[in-house]
Amino acid sequence: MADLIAGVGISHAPSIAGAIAAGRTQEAGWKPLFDAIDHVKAWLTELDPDAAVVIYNDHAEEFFLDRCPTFAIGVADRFEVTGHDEPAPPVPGHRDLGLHIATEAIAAGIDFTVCHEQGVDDGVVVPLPLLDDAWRFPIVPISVNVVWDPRPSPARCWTMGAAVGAAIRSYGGAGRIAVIATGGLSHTLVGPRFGSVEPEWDRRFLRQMEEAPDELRAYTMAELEQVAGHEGVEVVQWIAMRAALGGCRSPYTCYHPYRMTGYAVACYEPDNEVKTV
Amino acid sequence: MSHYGLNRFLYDLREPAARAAYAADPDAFAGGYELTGAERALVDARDWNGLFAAGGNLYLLPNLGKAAGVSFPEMGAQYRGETPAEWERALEEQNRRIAPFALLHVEEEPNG
Repeated sequence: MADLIAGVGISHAPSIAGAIAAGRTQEAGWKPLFDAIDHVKAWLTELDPDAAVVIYNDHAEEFFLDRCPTFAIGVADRFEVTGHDEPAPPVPGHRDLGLHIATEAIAAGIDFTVCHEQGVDDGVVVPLPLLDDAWRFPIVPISVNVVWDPRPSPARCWTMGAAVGAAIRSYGGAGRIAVIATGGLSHTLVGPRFGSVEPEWDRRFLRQMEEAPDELRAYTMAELEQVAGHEGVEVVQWIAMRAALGGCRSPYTCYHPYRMTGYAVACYEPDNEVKTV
Repeated sequence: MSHYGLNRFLYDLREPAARAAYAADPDAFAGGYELTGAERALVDARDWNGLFAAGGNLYLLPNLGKAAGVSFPEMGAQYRGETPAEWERALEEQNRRIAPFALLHVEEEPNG
């Protein structure tokens, strides 16, 4: 049976890729975040995952209103990159693991839309290359609809994540599997609050992730919009990841509020982890 | 309120060719979509807050911005009712307020 070896939460704001492209990663405003990402990358590299389930949100790139899955899972050997003017090579996928998770989760009552083609946008291709610069481990992308009403509740995202965690642990293929949640923390990209960051709440959320995960289920989307900002609702992906892990400890957390985003990157080690020392 | 028609219009503007067609002849291009008169007025006015209130998706509104020659940071300032310089000052002010909340938490290894 497969082992769920690690959880990671990481922001996916395009400004991160922008800072890299502009050669600004060593500037005072950015360096703490990139140092933290390097730390998490080294931690994950040492754990040596065979695959990663990536819980992210699409930004009206792949999924438009014409047909918009609440939860979508990609089941393919590769995923095209969408939403970029410059062509990018496809992302390697773990088809067999994706199909297993879809099958088990649907049997458990999480009605994923199963996608044999699923273009992945910045929600995947901004953060993943920072954790795995050569795409060494294939991914299973899971998209949560947080951009079109009606949206799933945080409690429902928790239930989805728990089903994904159980499915990973029942996967018959040998494997060391990580769950990576992307997005958040607080940010707002629309309306009169454009650019607002809510650092008090971000810090509270990171504490809840570590010490009081049950409280995460109590939020409503409307509450998250208020406390985390309009786009801060992306933290439901972290909530799903946290549910997948079960009991865990958090060896490393970095929170870096800067300009328009409450950036965060954090590691979580499930209690069931079998260390290969 | 068409809502879907508005978002279809905004979504299709993600293609550079569509943005060029819209810029060349806004009436002809927009006429191909189910936009209400009120929505069309908001589009013509580049009223970002009004378009958002009408159901326009925040990730698609920048497509109209691009077609209209308005950058995303300029849109941000317009959402806030500020000039770009005012918005940059507000951002710097916010940055001073939020920076002290930075956190680097490294747990000690259990049992050493």
